[in-house]
Amino acid sequence: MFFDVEKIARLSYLELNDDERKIFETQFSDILKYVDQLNQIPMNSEEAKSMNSFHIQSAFYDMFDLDPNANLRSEPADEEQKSLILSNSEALENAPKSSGLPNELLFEVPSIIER
Amino acid sequence: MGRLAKIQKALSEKKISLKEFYQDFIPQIKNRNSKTNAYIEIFEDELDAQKNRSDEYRGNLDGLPIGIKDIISIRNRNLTAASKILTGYRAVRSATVVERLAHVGASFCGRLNCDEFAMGSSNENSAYGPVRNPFHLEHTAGGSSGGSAAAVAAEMCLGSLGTDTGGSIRLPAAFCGITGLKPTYGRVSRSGVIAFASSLDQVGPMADDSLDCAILLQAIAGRDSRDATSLNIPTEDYVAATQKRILKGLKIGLPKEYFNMKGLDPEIEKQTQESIENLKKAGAEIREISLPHTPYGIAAYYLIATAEAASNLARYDGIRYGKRAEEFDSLKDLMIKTRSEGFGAEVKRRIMLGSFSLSAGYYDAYYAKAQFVRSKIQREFLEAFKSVDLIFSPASPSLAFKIGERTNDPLSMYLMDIFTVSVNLAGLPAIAFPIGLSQSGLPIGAQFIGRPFSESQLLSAVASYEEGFPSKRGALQC
Repeated sequence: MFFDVEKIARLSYLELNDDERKIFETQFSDILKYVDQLNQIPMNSEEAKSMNSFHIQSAFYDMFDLDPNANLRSEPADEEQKSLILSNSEALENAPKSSGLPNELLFEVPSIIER
Repeated sequence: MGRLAKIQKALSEKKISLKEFYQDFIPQIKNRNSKTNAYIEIFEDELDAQKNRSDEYRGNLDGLPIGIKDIISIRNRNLTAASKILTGYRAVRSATVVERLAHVGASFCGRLNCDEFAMGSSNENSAYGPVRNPFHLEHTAGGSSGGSAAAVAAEMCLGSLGTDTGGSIRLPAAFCGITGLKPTYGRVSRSGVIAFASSLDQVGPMADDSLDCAILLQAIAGRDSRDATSLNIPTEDYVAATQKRILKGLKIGLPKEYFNMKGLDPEIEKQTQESIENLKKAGAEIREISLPHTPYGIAAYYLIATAEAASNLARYDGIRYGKRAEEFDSLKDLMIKTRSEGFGAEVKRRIMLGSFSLSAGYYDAYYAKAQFVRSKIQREFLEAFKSVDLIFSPASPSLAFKIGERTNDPLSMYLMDIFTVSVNLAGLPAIAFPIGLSQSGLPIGAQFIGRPFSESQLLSAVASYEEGFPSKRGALQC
């Protein structure tokens, strides 16, 4: 299996230096050789498709007679959920760069449209 | 009885005061941290506040020092996930588990070191340096909750919280000779915990023994409306569970795939066999079972966990929080530079492996196949639990290895999780506990795996084992 380190780094929003690229190439080739043992397990297209909706807790719902929809959130949010909504200053407290009036702070980012 | 329960008792009976406890504890935590590097930050203000308290002990965890893995939010404290990318980040909320511990009085004595974003098996992937094993300072403490394990072993807290995505509570617990419980997926809230692989992550207690773990689990377990995967299944009296003796007549399964594995350390193998004899002596009925997909567990795990990590870690973009790169020439370049400078090598490797298994053309062959194996592993476990009550196995294939010994070979590091990952893939609870020492004085751990939501049974089993066959403790080097 070919692992295009350059391409995958780009997809991951990462930039590798030459040393990293070289080391990663060898390491990924070892790791992929190892995970390729999964090829020994047969899986048909139906089974592959059913994996899109696989959820690890489904088995627990049956065992403990739980309603699988119990956790779906109803709107509007209840009081406890409302109490979790961050205020403007809380949300911006950790911003590497922000500007604006108190309680109306904005995240600062480099411009994305050309003047 | 572990130190947590012992100190609770001594305080209740007024044999000591919190002030006296902290007078000894404060120099000890500082001194030992300089040797073990278990804490990224010790909260000196909190320690002093507890020492200078004028009111008396009010029961439960009141005033008792609990260490928190630095991946779990404590309001108004820094939170780094042992990563440079979160340098300077301050938590705006407390995690539910932290709130629940605070509710019964716990004092948080510091942020515990771990592998960056909990990715690792040796705690060597921390931007703050490796944690050293308190029994052998040149050896690792295991990972990723290495600080949580070392701090308990070196008596630098009375108990701690760790997180376990593929073995990150149980492996360091085994390396450091303590007890660590990975609860059922859905037993403990993940709200306020930095996400690594959301379908696998679970917070759990790490402490001296089953009773101390039970005290902590009692405080943190249960449904939380902030985490939709925390299930509405009643908690049990975990502390009372540690009073029960259940080994007599208990059916314990030994998965043959776990015991036929190449590369199991001979000392661990010998000690594990001795423990099996002990279990028989105590009246347990030992049965061989088969979990045929076990050998594929690591491969499936490292595809699923990394796929989830790749999407969870997409949020670290240098815009909303964390450290931002200083030089860049566009918005996209800002994100790329921030991530490339902020993440360490192992985190980059995992993000890339995850991007790969989710990418067009490879999804079915890797990610979907891994999920398929996951579903089979879960089914096999649940099937096995029709004929046995618990499953017993080693907790790790090797003893705590030397710092630096395996850092250049990530695959050999991934294989450290061979006994632990299947449990996370299946969403089951498991507990690691000490069963002996190697010739060189390093701890050896074993684990019990239980049915979903059988935490009290796991605690009873370990409590019964502890009473019948107490494990020797090594000499601290710090």
